[in-house]
Amino acid sequence: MGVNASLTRDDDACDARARQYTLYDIATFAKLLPKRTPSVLKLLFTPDEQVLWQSAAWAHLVHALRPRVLCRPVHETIARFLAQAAKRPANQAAVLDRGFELMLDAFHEAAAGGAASPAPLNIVQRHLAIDTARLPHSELVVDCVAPWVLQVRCGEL
Amino acid sequence: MASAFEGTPSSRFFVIKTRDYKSLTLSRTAALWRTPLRPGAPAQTQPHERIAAAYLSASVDHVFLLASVNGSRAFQGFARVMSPASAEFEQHGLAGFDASGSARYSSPFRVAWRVLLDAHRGLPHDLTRHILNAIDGRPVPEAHGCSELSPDAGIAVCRMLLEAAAAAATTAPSRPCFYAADSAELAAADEPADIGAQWSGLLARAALEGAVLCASNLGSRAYNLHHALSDVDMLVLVAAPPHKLLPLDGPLTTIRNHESFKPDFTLHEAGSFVHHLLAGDPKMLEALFAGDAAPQLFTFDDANATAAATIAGDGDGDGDGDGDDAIEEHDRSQVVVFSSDAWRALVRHRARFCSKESVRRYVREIHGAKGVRKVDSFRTKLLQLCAAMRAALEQYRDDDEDANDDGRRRKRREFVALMNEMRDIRVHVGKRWYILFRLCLQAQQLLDHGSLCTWFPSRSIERRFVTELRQFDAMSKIDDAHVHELARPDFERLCRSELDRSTEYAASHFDAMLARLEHTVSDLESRLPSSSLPEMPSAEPALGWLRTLRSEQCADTIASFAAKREQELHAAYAAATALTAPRLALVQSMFESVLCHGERLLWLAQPSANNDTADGTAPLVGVYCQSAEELLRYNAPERPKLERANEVRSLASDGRECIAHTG
Repeated sequence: MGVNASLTRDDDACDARARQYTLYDIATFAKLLPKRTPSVLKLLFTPDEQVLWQSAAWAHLVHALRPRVLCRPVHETIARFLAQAAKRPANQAAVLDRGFELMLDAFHEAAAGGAASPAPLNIVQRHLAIDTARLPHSELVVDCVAPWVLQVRCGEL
Repeated sequence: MASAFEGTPSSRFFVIKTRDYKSLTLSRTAALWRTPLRPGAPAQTQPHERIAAAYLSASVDHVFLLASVNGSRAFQGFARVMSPASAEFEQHGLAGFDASGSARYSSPFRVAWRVLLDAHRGLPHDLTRHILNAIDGRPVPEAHGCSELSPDAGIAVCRMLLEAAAAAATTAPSRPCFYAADSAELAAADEPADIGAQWSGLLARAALEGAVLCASNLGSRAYNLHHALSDVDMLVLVAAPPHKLLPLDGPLTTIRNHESFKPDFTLHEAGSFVHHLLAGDPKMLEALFAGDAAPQLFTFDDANATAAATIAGDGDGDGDGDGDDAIEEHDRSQVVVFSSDAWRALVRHRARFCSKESVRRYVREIHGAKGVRKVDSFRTKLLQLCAAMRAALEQYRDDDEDANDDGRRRKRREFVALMNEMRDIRVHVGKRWYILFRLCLQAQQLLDHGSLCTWFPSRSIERRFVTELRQFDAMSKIDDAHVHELARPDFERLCRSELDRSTEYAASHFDAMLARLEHTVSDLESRLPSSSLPEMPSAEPALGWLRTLRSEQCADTIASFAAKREQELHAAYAAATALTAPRLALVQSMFESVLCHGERLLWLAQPSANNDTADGTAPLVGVYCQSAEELLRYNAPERPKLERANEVRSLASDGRECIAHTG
């Protein structure tokens, strides 16, 4: 792979079966993380029941990152995401999948400062009602990820 | 400096930018600062007025200035404003402030510096990028000069600067010479006599980055084309340890001193060096040939021996060059200050890196913005100055300058300024010609002999020719006071003589030199296609060398990575065996891919049960880490960019992001 690292690997040869999985490179994942793009957040908030296997290193990162990414940029990302979904209702099911709901719930709880178990149908209304002023601007996620990447690459973690 | 920080949410913070670090040290000494004036902007929006308004506001506790030197990508410190701008502070002096700039400045105002870090130890912008300025919503490092930061952002940066200052105070090693850039040592160390101290300082600094492979002079001292006042250009090559090669933000590649500081040094990591070498960069090639005598150059024959000896500095002029040969040999042996076994192993292959591409690059440099185009712009400027001088002299002839002593002084000062500017240009042009012809000679060597001339022997015709181009280096500036004492006819004669010299230089001399240069370059270009040199440097020896270097230096890291990879793949496979047959086949295919690339698989999930494919399997998602061995093998400085990653993501909707590996 070398310097041609990309978010996912895209080899030349392909067959129908192999098309059914995606591999994410940690370096690009880490670089996209500060932007809190929906796909990256989905990876981070994938529910445990959907995880087939995880290394100790990944568990360590997820534990450290989940609370840090819940901040204003996430709010903006979700707003964009929901606006996009509202324009194309057919995509809503894909957009609001279980992992994303989980993330939204966690986000809502963090913003409201208390526990909540909202129904999916009310997600948009609840989301719009979040008081973003109570959220931090942005946590230094790169500060947490960069040393992690180095440790993983050095085989220390 | 005070360590207590008095910033509060009611304080205000402004970013100040400066072209050079010296302005900051001057400011600290004088306890003054001044901001640039913005032409055409209303008075109340001028930076110093905004700062003064904040300072005088009853609702503001304190006003702070956060300083960043342009190009340093770091904050160097912060100061508290202690007064509004006032003309009364002009007399306290900020001489030399922003000497390299041409901006007009406000009157100074009092400041008290709380933190001023060493020039090379600023707080990197990367560490403050997460702090958003609530005023414009942008990261703090993106703030422009004199723009305001929100109090929370300002306080956060100030606190980080205080922490950095505290850390520097406890960890600063006893660094020699120019690394203490904030002191008189800097100036002292810049003296040529102190080259030894400069080298020891640089090597101490380089050792922090990795194992030193080679240290060598660059520039005129490496070519034997220097004079007593020539500066020192240094090159150091290091092999960085794994933790400097594998970080998220890319490996260590090249470190250069800030352009405000002398001496010039360049520190290359081995991977970066190889990258540039294989791109045909002549500087890298020259490093491999550093200190080599160039037997292919013409030396003076007996008939010219006396002239040769004179030019070469043989004091007795007998042309025998007795002692000078020994001195020159000593100087030549000093070009390479240090070379390791690893470096010498690469040097053995140097002939294979000589290529047409290096010749093309020499030619490009000659034609480039710093080459002929630059000389041409100097000539235009010189001609303009000559025209201005001529007009001024015409006017001067009709003036009665002696009527008023002050008027005469002022008038003569204007002439002196013009003459000195013309002399400056002649010096610059002379140096430029010297560089261009030196490039020509080196390209010629490469083309003719498949090797490089880096050391021009003192008795070579080429050296005489090139050094003669620098004849103006020794030209001093015209002294203002001396000119004032001259009688009017003598003063006029001086002016006319300077004018004639510059006019002649800008016209006939320039054309002759340009014609000669163009002739040489076109000869090079015409011979290039038929040359036996390869098109590009041979990659294999350099990559093989780097591979050996890395495997020796990073063996432990590579082994740890491989051990983790094996362990994780076994665990992941064990977890996957519970899957149904079609899905297990999919996982196996994924594992094969990861194994094949020598990567670590960190995470495996099936994120949605709703998207099952036609054959009943659900898409899988995995996260991997690139092979450490692969990353260490060849560290090209070009890193994947976020835009590129986004581009790949946009392709994802087409299904092309899915991996396709058939084993």
